Amino acid sequence: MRNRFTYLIAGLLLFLCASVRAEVSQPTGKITFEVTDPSGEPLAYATVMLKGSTGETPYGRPTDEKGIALFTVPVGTYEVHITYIGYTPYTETLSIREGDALYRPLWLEPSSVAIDDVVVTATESKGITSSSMIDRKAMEHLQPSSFSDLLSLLPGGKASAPSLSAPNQIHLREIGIASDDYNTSSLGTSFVVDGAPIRNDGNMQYIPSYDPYFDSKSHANAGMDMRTLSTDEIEHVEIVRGIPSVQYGDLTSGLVKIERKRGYTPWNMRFKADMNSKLYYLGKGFEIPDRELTVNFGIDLLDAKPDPRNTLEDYRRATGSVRLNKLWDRSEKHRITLGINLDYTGSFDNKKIDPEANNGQLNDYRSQYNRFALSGDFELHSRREGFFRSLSMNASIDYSRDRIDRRKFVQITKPTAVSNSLAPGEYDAILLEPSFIGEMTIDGRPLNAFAKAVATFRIDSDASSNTILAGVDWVMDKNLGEGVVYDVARPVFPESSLRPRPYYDIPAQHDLGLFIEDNTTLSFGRYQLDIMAGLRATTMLNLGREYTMRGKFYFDPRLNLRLAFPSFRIWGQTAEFALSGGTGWHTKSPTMDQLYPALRYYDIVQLNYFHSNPDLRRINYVTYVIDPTNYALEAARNFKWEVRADLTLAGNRLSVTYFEEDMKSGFRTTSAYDSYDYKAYDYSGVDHDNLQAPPSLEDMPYTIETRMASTARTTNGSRTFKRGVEFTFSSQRIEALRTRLTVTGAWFHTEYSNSDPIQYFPGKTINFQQVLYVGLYENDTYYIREMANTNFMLDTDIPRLGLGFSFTFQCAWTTKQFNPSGSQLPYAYFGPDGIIHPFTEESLSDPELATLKRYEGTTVSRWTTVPFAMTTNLKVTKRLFKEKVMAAIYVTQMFNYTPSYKVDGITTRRHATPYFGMEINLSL
Amino acid sequence: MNYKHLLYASAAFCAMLFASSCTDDKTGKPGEPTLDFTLTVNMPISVESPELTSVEATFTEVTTGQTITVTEFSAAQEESYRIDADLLPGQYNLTLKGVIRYTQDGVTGEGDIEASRTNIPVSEESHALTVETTVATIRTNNFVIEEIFFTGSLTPEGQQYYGDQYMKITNNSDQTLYADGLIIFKSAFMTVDKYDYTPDIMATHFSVDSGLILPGSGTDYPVAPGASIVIADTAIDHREFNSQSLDLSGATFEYYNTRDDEDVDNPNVPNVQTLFADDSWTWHNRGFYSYAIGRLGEGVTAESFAKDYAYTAHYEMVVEGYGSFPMEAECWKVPNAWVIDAVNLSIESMFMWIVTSPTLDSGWTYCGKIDKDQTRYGKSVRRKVYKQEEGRTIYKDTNNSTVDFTAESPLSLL
Repeated sequence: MRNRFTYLIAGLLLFLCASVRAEVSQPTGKITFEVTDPSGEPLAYATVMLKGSTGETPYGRPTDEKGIALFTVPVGTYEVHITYIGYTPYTETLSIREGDALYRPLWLEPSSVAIDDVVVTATESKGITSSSMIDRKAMEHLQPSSFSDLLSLLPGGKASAPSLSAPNQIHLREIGIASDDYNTSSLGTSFVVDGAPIRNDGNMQYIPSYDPYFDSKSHANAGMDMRTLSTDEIEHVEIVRGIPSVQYGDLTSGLVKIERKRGYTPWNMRFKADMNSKLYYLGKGFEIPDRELTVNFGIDLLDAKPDPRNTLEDYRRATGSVRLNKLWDRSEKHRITLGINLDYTGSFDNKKIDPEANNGQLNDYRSQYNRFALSGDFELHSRREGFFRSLSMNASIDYSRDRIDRRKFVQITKPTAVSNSLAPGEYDAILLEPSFIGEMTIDGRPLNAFAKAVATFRIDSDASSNTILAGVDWVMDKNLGEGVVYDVARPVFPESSLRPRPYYDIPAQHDLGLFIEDNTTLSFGRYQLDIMAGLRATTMLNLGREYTMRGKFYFDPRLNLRLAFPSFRIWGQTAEFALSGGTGWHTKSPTMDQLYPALRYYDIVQLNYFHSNPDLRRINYVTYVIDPTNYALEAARNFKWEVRADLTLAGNRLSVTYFEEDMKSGFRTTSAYDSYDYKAYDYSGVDHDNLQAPPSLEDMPYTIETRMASTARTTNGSRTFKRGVEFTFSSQRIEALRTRLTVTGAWFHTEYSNSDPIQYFPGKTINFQQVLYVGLYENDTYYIREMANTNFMLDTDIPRLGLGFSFTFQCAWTTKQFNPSGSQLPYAYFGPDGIIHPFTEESLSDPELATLKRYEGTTVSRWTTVPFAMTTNLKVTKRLFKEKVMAAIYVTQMFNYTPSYKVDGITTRRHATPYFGMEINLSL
Repeated sequence: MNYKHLLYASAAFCAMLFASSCTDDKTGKPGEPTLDFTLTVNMPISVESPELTSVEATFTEVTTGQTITVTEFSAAQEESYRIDADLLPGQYNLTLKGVIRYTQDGVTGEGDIEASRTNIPVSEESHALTVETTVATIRTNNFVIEEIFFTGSLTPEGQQYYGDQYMKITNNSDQTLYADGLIIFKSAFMTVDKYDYTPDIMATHFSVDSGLILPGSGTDYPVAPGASIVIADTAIDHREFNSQSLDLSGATFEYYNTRDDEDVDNPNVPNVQTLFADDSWTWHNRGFYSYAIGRLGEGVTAESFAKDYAYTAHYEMVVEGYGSFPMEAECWKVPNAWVIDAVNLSIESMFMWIVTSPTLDSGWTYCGKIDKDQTRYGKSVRRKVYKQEEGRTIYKDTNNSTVDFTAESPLSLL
């Protein structure tokens, strides 16, 4: 596939060269426009038209993300028209002489007329890589409770009832499976709010256990919990699904850029209620025009119950934010902005079992997450022509107080002895009380710091305009928490191989990134080629000598191209067509928990002498302390490529992207077995009836025996392969109906598999002995998922009535899955000596080796398909009292077509339950 | 005083009334000729080629209480015998007990059969009867599983506790038997989940996934007729940890799992060994599996068992919404002839099938009627008593645990 892509690029370049030659004959001049708003913010995708006096076809193209549009045109006089929705059009006349290289900075004034068209969905960016843009209007129409709800607007997205009782992970361009071994995609999606990333690498609010509470509520090593992100202060979101600029690092799968409101806003109040939750919001933006100072603040509260009848499980969120923004705009030389943000996010999960239903016994889980963040951004824009354009700096510091309190009534089911030693050696164990209240606290206090500086330079030559970006970023993660705290004599999980462990001992983790990127705009006649080519180098600092990653640099080259064809006319309408493509590497460094896992304690019973007289009992253990750190762990790397076609015709736009992503080095836990020797004491020589004290071990005979035990280590053995097609079509609003049709959809194919061999230890007992062979298998069970869906959204906007409504048909054409079974037979095996032997056909005839044949789900697997189903969603917004009040209502899964289907003669019935909510917004 | 006289008077009156009615009765008339009554006794259908070795048919006249017992019999048709009795006309109740010899899986066994009828009219017109017999108990002359306590108990706090599970095995014969080398098998298949396992070997073999073997070299653990041995999960006084549990420190054997931290070893009670197991031995505390006792066959060692008695069962697993998937299960097969006694356990609301050949156990017993029944704790399944004989208890064994066992029985050791 990669080869085909190379051909495509080569072909594209050849084609370009050809067209360049064709245009060379005429004397030309060059002109670069930089279009900004009055505050100096670049206006991307403003349309710049150059109309020659000779009446030939006009030259036209949109500005790029920096507000730049570059033309190389034959000498002559041109009429310039620059238009941008919401701004007054700009017109001037210019003469271009041979060899000219003109630079024309200008700004557009916002038009006083209200913007006519309202976009209530995500729009596909016209930028160089595939990304979805969601703005305030779309969010108002969507009526979200948290950021997760916005993702239904992405191609392949689907609106469903919010699930606020468990962490919400992001799954870009994938179907997702419920396995902690395939979390790197969500871990590797970076959330950047006002330039500062939200770090999750220090989140260690988890212990490996079979506790359903931890399993369902934890999102350690899984990235951002989107429930904690409130949307009310957000002005604009860009979700980069493709290849982001190299200035964004520590990500594998995607980038979510969030910009929050800045500047004057009226008092905004929002009250939302739906079937499971209530949300309250209050916000305001103050402006002191004389000082060019704005202050924005917002607070919001969310109170959710996954089931309103169940008072035993709830989720609450509280956020508050104060943002100060200062502009220095008096100088002729430069413009400076400074922003300071102070944020708080509280997120609280509670769950307990009704003591009435638990024989009056306690069993509860409380999780608190309190994040305080202070961030600042500084930007300096040069107003003069020249090499240096801008300097921007971001810094943030962020401290969380996370705490999980787990309390449970523990009843031993049999007499249980535990060892509580923290060092290796031989110890006598203590017997647990028959029942007690076990309490455990996980106290995590992640502290993160982030700093980034980017300078922008410009070099213009005859044929091109180059914007060069160079910068550096640094993040530090540290956890100051007390860690896992509990009384070893009263453990919540007596079977756990863990012991209490503080987090503050873990060294700080530093990631350093250096990057340089060139954004070139070339124009060949009426073609324009944008090239974004960058290189990012990342390394982890402060790692111990044992780590392979120490001193290692990871290089992420990323390239995006966009070729805009000359606009042409078809059926009397202007059409624009562009092809783009990109490819690149993306690197995510391991989290703190993955680099510094907790020590494991293996306690093996050597003597179990449980005399009926409690004073004569003795239970002796040997304790092994295992460091499960995988020092060879490396960063996860994802390779992506995509091609995209974008056609605009008479205001209708179609964009289609094909992508492939292959991440072979994702993080997963892999179990590896080792042998452990212990003394099996023979107490048969003890005179049980005349004993005065517990038996002495000194004279007791013993034999050395061996036990196999596994240690789970984080490895780079998780592979996630994604490919698919994403498309977005949005029509122009049909004036007569005031209605627009938006069609988004996707076909995704995702494979989740292991990239390293796996070990399996059946541990069967035959012929009185446990078989101590461990098999090495090529494949674990892997998972292939496929999905095709399309959302048809009709949105109608009637400004005269202040009414907007949308109706969406969500069509899930097909959902398929295939779980090819893992290898049934090992290719090799080893015993306690650790020597690896090949596993052959003959091995199967040995009854002990034959136990290595795996059976569970190992025979024929096949595709299973869930056929077509459709659900519909309705959203209505109504503005009242001079737009001061907005009432809105939504119904998800209102009318549904979910036909039953048969597989192997068994009928599966499906149903979709409507979910609805409503809200009132006041704007005073 | 008056009352007393009245009582005597009425008693006398009643006696006269009774006597006079008697004299009116036909059968009581002296000198009336007896009838030749033919009783055809059909053998139980649950055993193969049964042969009647002795019989005792007792006819009781309903009104007179007169009894006539016949022990002579002659062969009639196939698996059917004829008993001739001289009876006066009247109404009779019949109680029949007999001993049969039969063959099962090539092994000859003895069993008690029984039948009963009430109000049989005997007259000129009616002087023949055919009765079906059933096996009352099989005389195995071997061990039987007397009791399985698999549910565990509840603590005063209402939580599960299960170190106190046990199996009680009783010598149901009239000779001393040795417990040495006896094996407790756990079925590989569940009675609550039915699949068509292929190859289907159930008629000849019991599919098992683990086995515990009792220690001893052959004569170390004698068990007198009627005596029992107890194999405890943990042979300690459990009341130290759970006041609602019981004292098992006097158990004959215990299962100590060296790999389990949640287990202790009483040095005064010998340990059983795990002969083979998927992981370690467990008693399913809801009773989804069946258990059996038996011994390895002649010349079969633990080693050759592992090699020669592996069984791969293929089956189709149906997952709702996804279709059916071919699966494999790896376990071991125990020839039915090795099995001394077997008990199927299940739950009424979930029962699907029995996982033994009907010749080993054609029924099933239970603790708890629904899945996760909270009332099942502290109860066992216990074999019913057939009779007391020579100071020992003989337990009922018809290879049908539905009738042989008392479900949800109180613990015998409590």
